[in-house]
Amino acid sequence: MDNVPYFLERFALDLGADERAIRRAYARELKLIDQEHDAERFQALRRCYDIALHWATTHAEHAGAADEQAEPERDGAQAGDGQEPPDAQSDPQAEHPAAQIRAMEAAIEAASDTVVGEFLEEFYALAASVAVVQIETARAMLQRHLGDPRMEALGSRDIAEARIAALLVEGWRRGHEVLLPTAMMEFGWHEDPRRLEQLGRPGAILNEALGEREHFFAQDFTQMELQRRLIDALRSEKRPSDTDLVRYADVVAGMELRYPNWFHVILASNKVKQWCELARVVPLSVSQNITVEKLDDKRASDKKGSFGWPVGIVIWLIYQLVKYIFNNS
Amino acid sequence: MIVGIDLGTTNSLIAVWSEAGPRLIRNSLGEILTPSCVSVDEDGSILVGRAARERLQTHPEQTAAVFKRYMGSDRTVKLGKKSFRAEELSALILRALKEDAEADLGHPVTEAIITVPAYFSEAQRQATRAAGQLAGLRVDRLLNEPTAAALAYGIHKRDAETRFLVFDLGGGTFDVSVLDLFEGVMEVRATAGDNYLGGEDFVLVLNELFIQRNKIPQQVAQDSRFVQRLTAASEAAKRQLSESATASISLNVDGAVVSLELDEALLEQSCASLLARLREPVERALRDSNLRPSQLDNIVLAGGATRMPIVRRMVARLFGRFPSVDLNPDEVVALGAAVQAGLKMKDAALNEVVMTDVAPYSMGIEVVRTLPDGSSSYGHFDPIIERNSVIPVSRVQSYIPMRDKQTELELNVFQGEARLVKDNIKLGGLKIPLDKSKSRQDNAVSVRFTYDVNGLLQVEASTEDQPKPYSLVIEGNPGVLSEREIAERLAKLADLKIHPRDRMEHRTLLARAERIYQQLLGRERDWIGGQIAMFERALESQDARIIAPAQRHLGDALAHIESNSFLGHEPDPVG
Repeated sequence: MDNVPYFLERFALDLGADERAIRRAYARELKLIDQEHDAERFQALRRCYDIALHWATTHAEHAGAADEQAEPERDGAQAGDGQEPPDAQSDPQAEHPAAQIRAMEAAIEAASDTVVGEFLEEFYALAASVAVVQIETARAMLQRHLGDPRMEALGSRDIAEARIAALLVEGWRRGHEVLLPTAMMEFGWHEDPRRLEQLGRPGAILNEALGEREHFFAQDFTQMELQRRLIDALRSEKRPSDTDLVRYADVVAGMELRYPNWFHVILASNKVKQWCELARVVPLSVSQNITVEKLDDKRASDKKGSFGWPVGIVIWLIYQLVKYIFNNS
Repeated sequence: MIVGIDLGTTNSLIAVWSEAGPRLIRNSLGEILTPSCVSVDEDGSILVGRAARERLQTHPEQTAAVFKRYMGSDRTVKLGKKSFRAEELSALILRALKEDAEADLGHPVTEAIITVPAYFSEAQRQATRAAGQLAGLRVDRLLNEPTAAALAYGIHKRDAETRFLVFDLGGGTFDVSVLDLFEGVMEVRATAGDNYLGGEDFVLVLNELFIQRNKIPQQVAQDSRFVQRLTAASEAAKRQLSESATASISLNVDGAVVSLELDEALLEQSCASLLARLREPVERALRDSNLRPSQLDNIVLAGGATRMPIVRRMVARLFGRFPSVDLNPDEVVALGAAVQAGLKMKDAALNEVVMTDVAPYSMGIEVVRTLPDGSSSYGHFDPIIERNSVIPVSRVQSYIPMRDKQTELELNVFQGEARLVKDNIKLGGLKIPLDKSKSRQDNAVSVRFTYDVNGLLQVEASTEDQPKPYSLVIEGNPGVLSEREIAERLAKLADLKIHPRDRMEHRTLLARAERIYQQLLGRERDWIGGQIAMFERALESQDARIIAPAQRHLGDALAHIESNSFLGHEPDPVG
């Protein structure tokens, strides 16, 4: 056959090869290579092996091989699909024929779901009753639920993590602004972003959101404080003052542009739009006297900008001068 | 002949590959475990192993233990007037093990495979290698401890197709590895760990409990002699609890006997936070290998601390089943190192066996990321080699400078998983000159990371104008000795007087007698004092016919005293 892909050819296999055959061929070839001194050949072999395994997996799935033969083939499956618990767990194509194992895993999943449900009920109740939920309080609450004896089996925390991640990307609810950093710290999303990668789509969104959040906290302090105040105002039920509406409309819009994913998690989706619309209808008599501010991009510590400082000062002087002239004219 | 060495936090072992498979070598006392302790004797000579362990209580200022925890740092330990780095202390242990092997094999030993915790960092690995050099050993290979355990386990099952997890809780470190065994290929799929969690931490918890419950005054609790005595007693109690339901820690404090009764429940409750820390690395290793616990055929225990029933119960609760107990967890790592030595020597009995390992952590560089609105976000970590990549591995990635006409690019290399470099470990830096007439797109820099089977990293960078790569030399890190420094320290170590190996047995007995003497009071103390004096006189005669019975006599006396008093036992190192 001349249309055999190179990764099978490397192992002298044809399109009929299954995972077992690939593993056997890999083992045979591997024994011919001195890994330590011929790293390049080893890596090339390894690449073919990984691709071949992946091919065998998808190939088998497409062929609809639903019997026990498919058992080892899912091993090579990439994160993402294997980790999305609802599907993976209810997958009729079970890895081990033992129904016992399936039942055990279903029980683990059910227990985690119950515990997460209990946590969320308590958490939302708290969020509804206080102005601000402290992160420490939320974290202690989450830890208490995760420490539940029903969560002892390996894998239960993973399920809880996936549930909370999925919930966060569904859109804001009161308290989510605290649930995000709480979950981040508890599940170590900042220490190990790969955990998010393993959560599929929700993980990808959260990964972006956390990157944006880091940028926010790395800003110059006054900038951050202003923006923090604006986020609070956006989340609040109260209508901001006309002055704030007009002065900060661009900043608010700029922030949403800069932090789209983070805002999606910590704010109701229509809030920025609302602000801008309200700002637009502020009477001209009021708005013309308000200086419109722009979103700045200043970092707390700029190591690299050796002449960032002098430039910054000059700009600030010009700004003061312009303001002075404007105010006096 | 290549030897395999398990250089442990608490104990070290040496093994060789023989026709009959891996074989452990006994030390001059006839024991398999050599305590990782070093002490300076009254005459200035160096004592290693059990004798040093005994002196930990009588001469804490002259004795060092658990120094594996300082590997890869510039921390020094003072023994009498001399100060030592962890590499040097480790080298003294390695030298003693080497002599034991030479005595057993009857020929010089110059090459070794040394095991390290899988989660050991670059600096810690470099330090281990330097320790080997300082001991006059060429370190052919650094082998990850859980991988070694897997080799020892897998060598008996090489025809099987199996998937298992190694749970390795040693004296100071915790590692988890998930492995696949098929067609003679032993493949590590994922590794995770905690470099600061081990059996020694459980002992510290007991120390703390004893001090709290008995309201020991602070100035006593900080006295190094008291701490060492308490540690030995806690260690003994911890071991006792592995065999019986209760144990007690009893100590002489200012002339009064103070004790703490322990049972399993109290131990478990006090160590709950340590036990909880066992979970995360297991979860991570399983996640990274895309496996569920039910897909594992077996759990293999390694490391002395897995003897503790509370640890075994935790494992059983996590996995919903009991771990395998076919192999002695104290010995399995050293046996695996010997198997690796056999592989390295291309022993015919092993030609159908291959092992592949992975990088335990990610390695990459600091980058600037762009946000959706085009603004820049600094200090991000961009991994070039992802954790659990099969090694040896070599990867290249291209980066463009921040600005047009940039004159230089600073490459900061980090190890870790965190998204921001400030939360990872910096390995070193490198400055690459750029052509300042070029735009940023034309000034791309290729960065190549190469990670070898020993877990050591090499970084190279090249530009279009400068295709000859710049290499990163990870130096100036205070935790890592340079080649020159190693040479200097080698000379320094050569000046040390080592206690002769053939007299070790007597010296160890004396050290033990001194320890017991110090713990006793009144008549018992005087009696042991007399026994010691008699033995010393016998030694002075230098006549084996006089020494041998005196030695037996003193040994019996000590055993008698220990079994009839509240002293507790010195932990018996032969498991």
